[in-house]
Amino acid sequence: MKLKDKHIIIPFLAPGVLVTFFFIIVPLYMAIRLSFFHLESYISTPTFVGFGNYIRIFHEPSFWNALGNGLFYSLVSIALQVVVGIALALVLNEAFKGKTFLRGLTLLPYILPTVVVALTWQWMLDGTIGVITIAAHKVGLGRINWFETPRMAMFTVILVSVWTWTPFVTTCFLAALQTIPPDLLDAAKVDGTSAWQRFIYITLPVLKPILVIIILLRGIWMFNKFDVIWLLTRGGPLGATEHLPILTYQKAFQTYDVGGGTAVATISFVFLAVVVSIYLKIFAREE
Amino acid sequence: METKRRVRKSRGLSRRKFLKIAGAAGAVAMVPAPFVHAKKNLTLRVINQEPDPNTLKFFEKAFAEYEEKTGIKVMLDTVPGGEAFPKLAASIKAGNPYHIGNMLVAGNIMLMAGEGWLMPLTGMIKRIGMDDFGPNILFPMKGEVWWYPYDYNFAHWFYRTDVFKEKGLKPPKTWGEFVDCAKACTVDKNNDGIPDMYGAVLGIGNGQWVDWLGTGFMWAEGVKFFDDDWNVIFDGPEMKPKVVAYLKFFKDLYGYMPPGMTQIVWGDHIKHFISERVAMAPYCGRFVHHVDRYAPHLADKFGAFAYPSSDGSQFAIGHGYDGWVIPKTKQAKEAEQLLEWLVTEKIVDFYATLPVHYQPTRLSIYEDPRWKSLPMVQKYWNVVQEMKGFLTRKDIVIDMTDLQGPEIDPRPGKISRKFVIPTMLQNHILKGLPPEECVDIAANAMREVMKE
Repeated sequence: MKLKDKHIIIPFLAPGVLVTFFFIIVPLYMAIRLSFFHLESYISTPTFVGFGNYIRIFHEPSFWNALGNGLFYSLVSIALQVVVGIALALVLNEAFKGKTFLRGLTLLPYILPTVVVALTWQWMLDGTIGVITIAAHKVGLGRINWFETPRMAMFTVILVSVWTWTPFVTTCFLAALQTIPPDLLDAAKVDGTSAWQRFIYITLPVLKPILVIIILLRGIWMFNKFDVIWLLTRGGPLGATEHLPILTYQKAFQTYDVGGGTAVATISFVFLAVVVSIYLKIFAREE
Repeated sequence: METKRRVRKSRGLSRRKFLKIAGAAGAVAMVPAPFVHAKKNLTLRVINQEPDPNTLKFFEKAFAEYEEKTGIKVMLDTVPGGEAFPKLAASIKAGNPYHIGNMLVAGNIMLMAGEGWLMPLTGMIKRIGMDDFGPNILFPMKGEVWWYPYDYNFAHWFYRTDVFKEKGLKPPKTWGEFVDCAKACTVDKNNDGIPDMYGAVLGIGNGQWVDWLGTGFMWAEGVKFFDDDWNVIFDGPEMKPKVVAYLKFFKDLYGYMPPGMTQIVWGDHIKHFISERVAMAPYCGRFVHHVDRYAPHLADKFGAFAYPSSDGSQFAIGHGYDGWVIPKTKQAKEAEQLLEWLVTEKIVDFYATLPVHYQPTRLSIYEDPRWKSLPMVQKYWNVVQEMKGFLTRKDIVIDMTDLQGPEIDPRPGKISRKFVIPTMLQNHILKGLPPEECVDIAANAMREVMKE
């Protein structure tokens, strides 16, 4: 770097570095540090317990339940978001009347605040007056208890999550699809390829880099997703939708077990960092 | 010349005399100066968890009046209900404590008192009159009272008097009657397979409202979590049959509740009632304000009753107190003066902001003509009398999860925050586990909490 470049780069870089340091690195350090202390109810003097909190957490069934729930929730909702997102992007990439309007409409769930989404779905799935519940009842599906059994509660939070965040995936794929030269697809058509072959051999390779990034981003976001699950189920019933972020919150802010809560958050962070590194290594090698 | 000068000296104001007087005056002026200066610049910080707009307006007005009167400025920080404790504790740990705070959960208050963080308020309570306070509210520890409780927040049941009358029902006095009432009130008017009105609402999801609103039946039945040595007796020979019966009763009642009982939170219990989806709902006096504000057509169509025991021999109320504490600071004396002024001279004005919601803790308030003449108190006189009766009736037990054990301790509060009771209910009602097993699981969870 030239000296005169430094004078330009440093002032631009400094705010970002300072914000990252004070609002990400320092809190992260403090959280990790707290996970090695026993701190009760924000009151007692923290006592160093080494890996005591971690050992305790690893022995708690609620931790393994939360880890399993988090993995299931994120894997299933990402898979559905990608499949539905690609399907929608392919449809919206075609030429038809009202395409622009429909593209705008598709983005709507993503731009709505999560609180609005969660409350609206709660009303629509209400057991007595919910429009979806009544519709399901009318078509002979009986009265569905969307949140009252562990399986249904997980299904419902995945359903709401897919509805909310698929538009992001659709938009990214749609942008990628528009980079495919129409001539290429026309040439393939002339060569007698089927639509499926064109998708597999032309479209999908174009989508692959964006697919890798989307799975990575959505994986991190879904694994850490707190708001929608908390608003819909608070981790219940019977811990069926309790995942690591909810367990962290419950420990730190509801039972005031600050050491335990930060230990769960640290484990979650390390787990995610390891998975992301492996994922990136695999795809970097393929590249 | 000499004589003239002497005369002038003796009659007039010599330079020396002037300097003496000025010096003395200055010294006199200097003596109270730091005090006045300190008062003028003193700001007391108050953390408040009563977010009602009327209450906030009251604080704003009262603190402005106090500043005018004393020169002491009062700053108010308001947080959602129940969230004052971590913020107050953090402010103390950070070395910049609030001077006054209102809080719930006695265990947390005693925890802070135990750490030596709070000022004892025994003197103030005695000046006001210790005997004036109602039962089970001062929670003394080590011979001192550590808070000024201002609200009982009793959880009890409200019911639709018109629906009960139409069906020939009376407020239930046993668990059997309770289920019968709920059954009779569950009606599918248009025969579409979905009831239009259900018997009762009572959340069983993960939340502390279950400990507040759903445990009254257990307290009426005489259930206790611990013996006098803090051993868990919840699954012991005396308590287990009572809790098993409670679970069976709850499951029966659940059949007459609307769907979504794992979803609802605090205020949803009221919403179910004012939207006429249920005939019975538990809550505290805030319920009355919601009915008055959002469903005035129901204003003369509801009554109140306590949680019955299985055989009707005893009744219970879910405790849900709120109170003021004063952390130890250099300005603790000034903070106590402010609090004493608030709870003596302004207490009725404070109650007037939500007169039926805030259930006074001092018996004399109920006789205060200013309180009695508040329009809401007048309008809902019968309900208010029923609520007042909870304080004086001999057959009423006032209890809650946080107060379990031989003395006030923060650990029972943890049982509440770890959702032990909601999980027990969910295990039986949703998962279908035998009630005996659900009680064992809950008791073991309590033991885990006590180990911490």
